[in-house]
Amino acid sequence: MHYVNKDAKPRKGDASKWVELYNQYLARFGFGEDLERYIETKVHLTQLRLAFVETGDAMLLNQIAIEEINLKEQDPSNHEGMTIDQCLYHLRKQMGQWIDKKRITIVDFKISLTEYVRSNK
Amino acid sequence: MSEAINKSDLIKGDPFGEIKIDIAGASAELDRFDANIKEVAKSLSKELSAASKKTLQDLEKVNKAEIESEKLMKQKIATQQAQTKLLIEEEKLKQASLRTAKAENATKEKTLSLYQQESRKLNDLRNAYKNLAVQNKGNTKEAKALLAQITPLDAKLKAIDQTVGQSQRNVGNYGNALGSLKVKFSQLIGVASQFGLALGGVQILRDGMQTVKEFETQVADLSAVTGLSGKALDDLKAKAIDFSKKYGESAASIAEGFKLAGSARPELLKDGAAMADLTEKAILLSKASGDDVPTSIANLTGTLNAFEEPASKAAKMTDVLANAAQLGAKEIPYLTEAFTKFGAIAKSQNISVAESAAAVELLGQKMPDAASAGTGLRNVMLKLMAPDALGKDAIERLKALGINFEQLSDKTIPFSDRLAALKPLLKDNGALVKVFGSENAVAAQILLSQTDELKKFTGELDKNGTTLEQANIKSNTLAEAGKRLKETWNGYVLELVNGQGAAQGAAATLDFLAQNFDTIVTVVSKLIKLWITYKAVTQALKLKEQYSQWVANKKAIAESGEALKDGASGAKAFGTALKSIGISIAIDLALELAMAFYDVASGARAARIQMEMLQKANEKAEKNVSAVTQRTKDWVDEQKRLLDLEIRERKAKGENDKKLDAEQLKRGKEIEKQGLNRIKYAQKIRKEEYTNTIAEIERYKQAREKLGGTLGNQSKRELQLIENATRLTKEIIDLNTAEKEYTDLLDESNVAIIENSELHFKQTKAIKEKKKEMKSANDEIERMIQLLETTQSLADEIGLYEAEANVQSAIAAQMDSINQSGQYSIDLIKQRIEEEYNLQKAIIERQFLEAVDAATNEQEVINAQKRRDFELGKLEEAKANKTKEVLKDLETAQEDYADKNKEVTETEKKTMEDRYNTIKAFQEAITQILTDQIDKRIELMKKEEDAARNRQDYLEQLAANGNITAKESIAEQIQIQREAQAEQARLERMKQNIELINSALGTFNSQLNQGKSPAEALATTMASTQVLVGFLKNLNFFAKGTDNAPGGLAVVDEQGAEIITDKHGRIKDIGTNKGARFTMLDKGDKVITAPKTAAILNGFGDMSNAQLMSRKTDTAGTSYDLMAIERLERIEKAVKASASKTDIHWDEFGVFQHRYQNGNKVTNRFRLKS
Repeated sequence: MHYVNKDAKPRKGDASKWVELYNQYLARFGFGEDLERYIETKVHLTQLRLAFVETGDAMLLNQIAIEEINLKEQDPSNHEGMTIDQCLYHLRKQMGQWIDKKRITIVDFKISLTEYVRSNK
Repeated sequence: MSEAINKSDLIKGDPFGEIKIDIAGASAELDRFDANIKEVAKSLSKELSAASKKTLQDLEKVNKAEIESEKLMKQKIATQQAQTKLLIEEEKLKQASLRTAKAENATKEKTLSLYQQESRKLNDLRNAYKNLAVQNKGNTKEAKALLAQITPLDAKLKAIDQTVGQSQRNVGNYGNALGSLKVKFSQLIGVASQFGLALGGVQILRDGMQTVKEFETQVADLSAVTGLSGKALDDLKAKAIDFSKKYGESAASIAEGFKLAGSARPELLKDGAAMADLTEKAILLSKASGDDVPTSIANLTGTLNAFEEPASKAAKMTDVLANAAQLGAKEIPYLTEAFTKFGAIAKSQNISVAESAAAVELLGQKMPDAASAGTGLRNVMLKLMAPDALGKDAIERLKALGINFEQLSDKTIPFSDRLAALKPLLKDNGALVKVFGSENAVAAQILLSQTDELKKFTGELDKNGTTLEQANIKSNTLAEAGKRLKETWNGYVLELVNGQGAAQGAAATLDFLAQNFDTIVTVVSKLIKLWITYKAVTQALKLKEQYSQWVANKKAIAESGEALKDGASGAKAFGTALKSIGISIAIDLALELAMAFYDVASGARAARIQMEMLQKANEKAEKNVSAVTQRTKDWVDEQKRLLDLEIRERKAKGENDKKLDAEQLKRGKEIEKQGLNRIKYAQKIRKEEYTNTIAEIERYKQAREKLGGTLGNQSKRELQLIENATRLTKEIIDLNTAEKEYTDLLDESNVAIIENSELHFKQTKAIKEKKKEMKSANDEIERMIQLLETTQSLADEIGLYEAEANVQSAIAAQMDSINQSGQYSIDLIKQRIEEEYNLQKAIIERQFLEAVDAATNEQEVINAQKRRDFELGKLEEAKANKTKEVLKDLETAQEDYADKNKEVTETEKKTMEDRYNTIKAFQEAITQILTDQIDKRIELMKKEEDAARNRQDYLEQLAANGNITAKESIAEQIQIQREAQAEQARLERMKQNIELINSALGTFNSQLNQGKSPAEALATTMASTQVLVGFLKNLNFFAKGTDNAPGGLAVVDEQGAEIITDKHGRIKDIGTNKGARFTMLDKGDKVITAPKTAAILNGFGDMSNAQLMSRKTDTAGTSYDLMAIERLERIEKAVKASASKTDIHWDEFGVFQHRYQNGNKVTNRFRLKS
């Protein structure tokens, strides 16, 4: 789906469109390795907590405590990542040409980035 | 005070009622709350598993579920804490209740002491009256005043006694009757105690009273705990006495059993019969299992509670437990401990007790700890209960193996069949662990591999009626027969004391006992003798058959240790078969005698009951009598009472009992006659007066007629005379009626006496027959004893021979040990010598007792005593000498062995030392060289790494300036650095390995230097150097942690405690801060680094804080908060309120209960009734 908000004014349905777009993006590129692991940990932690509520088995609290710390460690917002601008800087250097932030599509950007990472592995 | 003392008399109101209701209410509220959050957790869990985790909406769901799960978890923790608090409050309440019961008892005692004061006063008054009576001042004013005080006080105390179920005071001549028995009892002094029967002269009284005291204490406790009183309590008392006779357990312990049963199953407190029934089942279980009664009650009620079954299922439970104890490897306590872990789950899964017990027994074969077996079984049941809740992997594996989920959770099919459906798991260990978890895998494997056995075993455990069967078999021993005999006696004593209003009845019972005592004494003393010689019987019978074999072996035995052993074991084997014959005869006799004795006791009881019936008949007859008859009757009774008093005093002074009884009978008749004469005399006087009055009236009448009626109407005097005549006529009629009534009364009494005499006659006849039975039993025992006496010396000889054979075999064994290793132990030999000594001592003691028995005068007894002392001294000396000699022989043998081996050992040791010193020096040199080389290489690697890093910086700069392509930059250099670091680590490890090998060899060498053999030294260090090298090579170091360990030996905790979990994240070990250590890891284990471990452990601390429910209002407003804070607060408030109410104190005025209402302290007072 292509959706352009030309005058950048808020409209009814913007949000749902955005979600739809994002889901398309996810269907194509997924969450990314770290975030995937983070979600898995979160699901596991939730399952453990619910199991504790159902069984009352205090031993589960140990596993819960470990998973809580794991979750905190894996929280992507705690990691020192790069901003989109920083990424573009490296991509521009790799491609040897200027990339306009407002013109590049998300698909192009993602593919360029993936390829850049792959070639530097 | 004239009422029985009950809790309700002491306390007005129930201090605990309100609290109980509060706790029950809060508990129910908590349960509902818990059910709610479980429900929510379930639906949340479903939502979560439905989320595909691929879209933003899914992500939203996961986030929401995570937030909600945290809230739910906190609510669950708060619920659990509140539940714990409630449990504590319940316990406090129980304690407070016990304190109340105690204080209640104290108050009772206080009341009793008042009673004792009154009782003492009555005794003093009586003594004062007796003093006057002896001085022939019985009719003085002073004596009459005393009597006026004595009579009401006596009546008052009697009334009190009756209300508390005691009749000692009513038994007027109880003390005298017992006193007269003292002499007869003395015949049994000395021998009785050997049988465990208290029949000694004074001992019988003391023990009898002790029995009563213990029983009454237990009954008082029972009453305090159960709140039972009056008829219900009396019924339980009677049951306790009945059971004691039936099962040979003391009535006190059975009363305690009731108490325990009532405490464990509060619903029984209202139903005495059910409580008794449960206790009876527990007694049977104790007989079948060999445990004591309280233990069996705890086991039985524990099982009932674990499975949440009603008390009516006790019979089934006892059968299962008894069957399991008999057929399985584990005993009842193991089973009950395991049941507590999983009983409720089993019940919810429709798994029967028999099936549960069978499963525990199977697990018990391989799991020594009951709690682990129970927990394992619980977890297996839980997994079966909800296979859908298993992990994703586990579900997939189960599906792959074609396992039917519906069958697993189908409650209608037996547990064994449900387990059988999982059998394919046995072929796939991975799947087994996935499904059951590593900690339950063992239990699951044991059960899955034995489903057929489980089914079969369940069938065997499910059989009914075996408890009774086993109890009967186990009760058929001489010891049990003895116990029943003893408790028959104790039961008899208790019945004697418990008899209500049996003033004359109890006395009659004692008289009866006295009359028949000679018979009883004979029977019991013979029985006692039988017991003493019982062991000799078995020995003697054994010897009889064994003698020829023994003679044949004797020579060989003396010559060879081996033959000695054979002979001894042969004798033992033969003896075992014959022993059973001796026991069965003895048991039959003992049972017969026990029954005979019981019948005698029952006969006495019947006599007492008969007397009570007679009394009742008299009371009935006395109901409808006129005032005149009553006065006459009162006079007669008073005269009879005085007569009774006089006769008793004369008896106490030692006059002939029989003559006095005859005199009492005769004078009693005379008094009755005098009573009648009193009525007749009054009639005579009235009649005379009436005749005179009529005559005077006649005279007045004639005088008036003579005067021709001129005097007119009747004079005043005449009118008065007519009035007198009328009164006298009425009095005469009354006296005639009284005469008739009194005569009828006497007749009725006579009829009752005649009836009673007839009964007495019948009873005497029955007793005579019983005596015959007892006599034949006696004759049988007599014959037995004669047989025993003839074989006694032979029995001694075989016993001594066996003991000596044991000593010799122990010495031979130690000699062998010296020849092989130069080592020996004197302990067994000493023990055998001690056994031989004890046997010899027992023979001397028995011979002494026999000599005393046969002695005809004091001198012979003294001689026997001297002989015994001399023999014992000699024996003691012989024992000491023998021990010394054996020790000397062993030491000599050891020295010989040492001399022989000394030379060889020293040469060998020196050669080995040289060899290993060389190896050590060589090894150290190699280690040094290798270490140096490795150090150098590490140095080189570091330099390479630095160079690489510098180059990387340089390249990065170039790249930043756009002078080179990024391909040449960072990643490649990082790779180089990583490789260098990996190589460094490998070399470090190698260096450590070499150093470890060196240190191991050092240990090995030092072991040799300490004088250990090379084999021992190597075993201490390691099985072989090859193994050592292999071991070190495979060693893993996990200072940096791992998410997937390869399995095997590893070094952990190098930099501090490291948590180790299994691959599912379950903690296996939390490590220590004591430095590096070896540990075994399973494949897939995770090792969490020291810093992270520290963080986790701190997290645990934080979690315990987090467990305290936050009071903040939830602003998220999500649907799952609807039940949360407000309700929890309410529950906690209820818990707190009940906690404050359990603050209960006692003082001399009553019970105080402090409670808090709206922040104010309120004190309730529960007053004692005055």
